[in-house]
Amino acid sequence: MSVFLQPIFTQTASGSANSITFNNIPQTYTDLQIVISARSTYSSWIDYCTAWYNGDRSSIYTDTYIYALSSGTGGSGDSATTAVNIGSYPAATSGTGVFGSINYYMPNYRSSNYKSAMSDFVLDMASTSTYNLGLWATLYSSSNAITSVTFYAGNGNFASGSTFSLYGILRQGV
Amino acid sequence: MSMFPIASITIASNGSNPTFSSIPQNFQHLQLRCYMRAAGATSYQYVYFRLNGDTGSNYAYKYLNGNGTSAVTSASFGGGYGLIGYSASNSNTTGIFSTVIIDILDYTSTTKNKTLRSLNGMDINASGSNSGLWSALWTPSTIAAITQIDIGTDSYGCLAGSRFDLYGINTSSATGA
Repeated sequence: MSVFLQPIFTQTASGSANSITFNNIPQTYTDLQIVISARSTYSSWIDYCTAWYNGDRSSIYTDTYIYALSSGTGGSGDSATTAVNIGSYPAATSGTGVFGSINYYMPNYRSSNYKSAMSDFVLDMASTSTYNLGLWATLYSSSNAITSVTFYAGNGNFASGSTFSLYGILRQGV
Repeated sequence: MSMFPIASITIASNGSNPTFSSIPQNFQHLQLRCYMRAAGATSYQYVYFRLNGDTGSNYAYKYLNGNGTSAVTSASFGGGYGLIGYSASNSNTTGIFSTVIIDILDYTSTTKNKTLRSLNGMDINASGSNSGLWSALWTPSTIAAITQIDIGTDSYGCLAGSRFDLYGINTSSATGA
């Protein structure tokens, strides 16, 4: 039977760690989706969440981005990096109780092809001068199946109450 | 499976905007999927929302839109309602509706202000089409769980046939750490 959005793991940050890792990801789905509600302890209004797979920190990641900031819209990207960007999110000066929202979609995570994924994220505050929203396309140039994924907080720790929910998606006919 | 239908509202006659009330508090996240067209005859309409009936100046919104020519952004805060997308309207070609998919994470939290993230498509087969990513933030004086969502367009309301589907999404108790 096909299963849409099957909950696999959930982690809630305590505020004392700068990374969250999901290990031993079941190899029984076709796609993965990760839903993140996060805030950073970094002393700024913004921090940057990155990710890597299987503990692999070699320079085989790339990413591409379209964004909106108060200064306008644009695009950028990175090549030959050791992790991918998946979204900006609020940090310590962003206002009490403000958390960002990131959706990260990872199709075909067991494939022997390179791993393409994408995210959409929003960092919204009670302000018109400090915000960031956008979409990232990411690539992990490895033929290995993804068995773990690590999310890195950037400059601070993931604040207490930040949640990371991992889901499996099984296509029709499996 | 973790995505459960909570309620579905189809606009039966022109001019009303839907309300989801008494939202169950037993899910982790909400997703609201909208297929809509405004009953008013302006060239397009915004998608408006309020949470828990709050009319205070507690809403912010931002967007990143493509309008067929360029990417644009805009921001606002301090309004008495939020905006979370563009909707086709009754001045557009008959039969054209727009799509808005809204995610609200940790909607029962009493420590997190509520951030809405939406993907919006409004292709009206003419100038004025938009696709975009929207965010909105609700910051009431006391942080509250969401129990009610009012959504729709301006006072002219939605066109008959517009449909709004609310889902609840669960999470796992396993951590995978």
